[in-house]
Amino acid sequence: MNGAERSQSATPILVVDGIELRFGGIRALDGVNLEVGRGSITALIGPNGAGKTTLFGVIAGFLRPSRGRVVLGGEDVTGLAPPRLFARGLMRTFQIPAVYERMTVLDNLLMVPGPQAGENLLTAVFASRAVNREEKAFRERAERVIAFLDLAPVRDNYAGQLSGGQKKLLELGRVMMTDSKVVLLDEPGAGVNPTLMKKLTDSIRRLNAEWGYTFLIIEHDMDLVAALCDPVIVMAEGKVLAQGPMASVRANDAVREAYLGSRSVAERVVAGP
Amino acid sequence: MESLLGFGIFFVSFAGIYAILALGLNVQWGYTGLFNIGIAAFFAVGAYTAAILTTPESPNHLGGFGLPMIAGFVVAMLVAAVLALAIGLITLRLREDYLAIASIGLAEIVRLVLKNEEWLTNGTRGITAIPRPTSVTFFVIVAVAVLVTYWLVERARRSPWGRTVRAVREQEQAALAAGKNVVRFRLEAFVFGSALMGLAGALYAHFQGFVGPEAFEPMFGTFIVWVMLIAGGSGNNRGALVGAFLVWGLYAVTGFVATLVPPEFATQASAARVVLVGVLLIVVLLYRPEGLLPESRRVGPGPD
Ligand SMILES: Nc1ncnc2c1ncn2[C@@H]1O[C@H](COP(=O)(O)OP(=O)(O)O)[C@@H](O)[C@H]1O
Ligand SMILES: [Mg+2]
Repeated sequence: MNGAERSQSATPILVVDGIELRFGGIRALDGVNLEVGRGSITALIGPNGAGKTTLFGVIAGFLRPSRGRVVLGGEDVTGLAPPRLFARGLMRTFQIPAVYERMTVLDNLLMVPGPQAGENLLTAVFASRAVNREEKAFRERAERVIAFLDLAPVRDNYAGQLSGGQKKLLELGRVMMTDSKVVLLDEPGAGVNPTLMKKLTDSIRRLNAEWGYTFLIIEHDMDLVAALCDPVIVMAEGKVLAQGPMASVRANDAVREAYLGSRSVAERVVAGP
Repeated sequence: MESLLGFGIFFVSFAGIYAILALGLNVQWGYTGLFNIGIAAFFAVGAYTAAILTTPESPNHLGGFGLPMIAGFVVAMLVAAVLALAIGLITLRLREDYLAIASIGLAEIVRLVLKNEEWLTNGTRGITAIPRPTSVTFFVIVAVAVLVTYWLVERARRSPWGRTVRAVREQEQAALAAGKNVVRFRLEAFVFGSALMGLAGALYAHFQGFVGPEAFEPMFGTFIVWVMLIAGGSGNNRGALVGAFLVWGLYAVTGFVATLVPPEFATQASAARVVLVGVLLIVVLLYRPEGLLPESRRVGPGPD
């Protein structure tokens, strides 16, 4: 059973309920309601400035909403700090790739699992044997991730030297270093060349099918969305406009209207791939 | 010959104290990106703590308590650590610049306390009669302290802890998203580095046998340590050691030259020495922007 089929029946793993958030006078989020089915690959699309990235910030604990609730796996997690949400199996990536520039690709991956025994300063300094045992397991996992994403040639390079597309892959690699339940990807395809794009889509699909990750993906590339995601949620001006399979979303009048402002995307949403 | 050896022992002992300061700063700035410009505060607090604990009882200042030197070392580190914890708890959850402002303010406050709280520090006259081991014994003590410190900070760097604080330095948001409690890691690095600075202070007190407020002015308490670390190589512990010996060497040599100039130019000569230290920094940064020994690519356990 693939991810898309599962999403039809499953109970939601993530519920966003009436979220509001302002930046000064701007209502960035104006009562957002949405659900993400367990095991689904859900798309979050909408014109620039719709509030998608801001919503990710709220879900992952980086921004505090003035109203509304975020429910993860049946528990209210509104306002929890990002490390707490990570501990509950939520991982996010950033629209502008946030890699550790002056650390190698390998170290970018190795730092993710946690809490690590060796992150305790006293254990790190005085009990290296326990640390090394744990480190060996992390190292094996990191090498598998590097192989999976074809990052072997740049394994020991500083992450700051990677191309934009490789940084996006590395962010996905960091996700793979944990047993996340819910993964929020913010424009994973932006700046990625066609070859890497295929790698990216394949990886997401496999992580969904084989590793059981649920994805919520902000993406402007409609080919990617159509190929990968179901359902599709459309946001505009801080609200959810429509929700459902790509075809029904395309036919929605409100969606057509919202996209009039940004033509290039609108044409592709409306015309189809 | 004998006096040359004596000078060598003196020089290495003094440079060793600065090496510990530079290693402490490396944990804070090199590893973690914490901008501490109040090194002098932790250095001074360590020196005065050791002085008060180990001197014989005196009517001029608090104590002394006549305790053994080792007690002074331990408590000096603890007091510096507690001070760092207090400042860190207030500033490390805020924007980065708050630590800079708070640390420079702290250094000034500490200096004022040393100058004015006579009951505690004997004011500008300072604390005398601090036990002084022979120069050879002291040399051994400093050498051991430098080696142990180097071992500690290297172990910390080459551990998952070292990797995570480097990630915190590089990209706070991503570290948060990866579940790291960035405030905790910053606090640990700040306290660790400051405790080492406190140790350097205690060593300094026993080296001089005397402490007074003027030794902890920003120039010698803070600025020169930054020059040592940046010239030697921020993030690299061997770089911190090389930087400490190089800068202190330059300063010592020019000090010797300065004794040869006529006394009426003494002020200019001492100013010129400070300028020279600045010139050294500029030259190093022009030719080696990351310092003489740059940070190694790998962190964490395993080969570099
Ligand atoms: N940190 C911020 N401060 C002020 N306004 C912001 C901030 N972040 C986003 N906004 C505003 O909030 C709205 C939603 O932005 P964003 O969530 O980035 O949209 P999207 O990701 O859908 O393109 C925009 O009007 C944007 O200008
Ligand atoms: Mg965005």
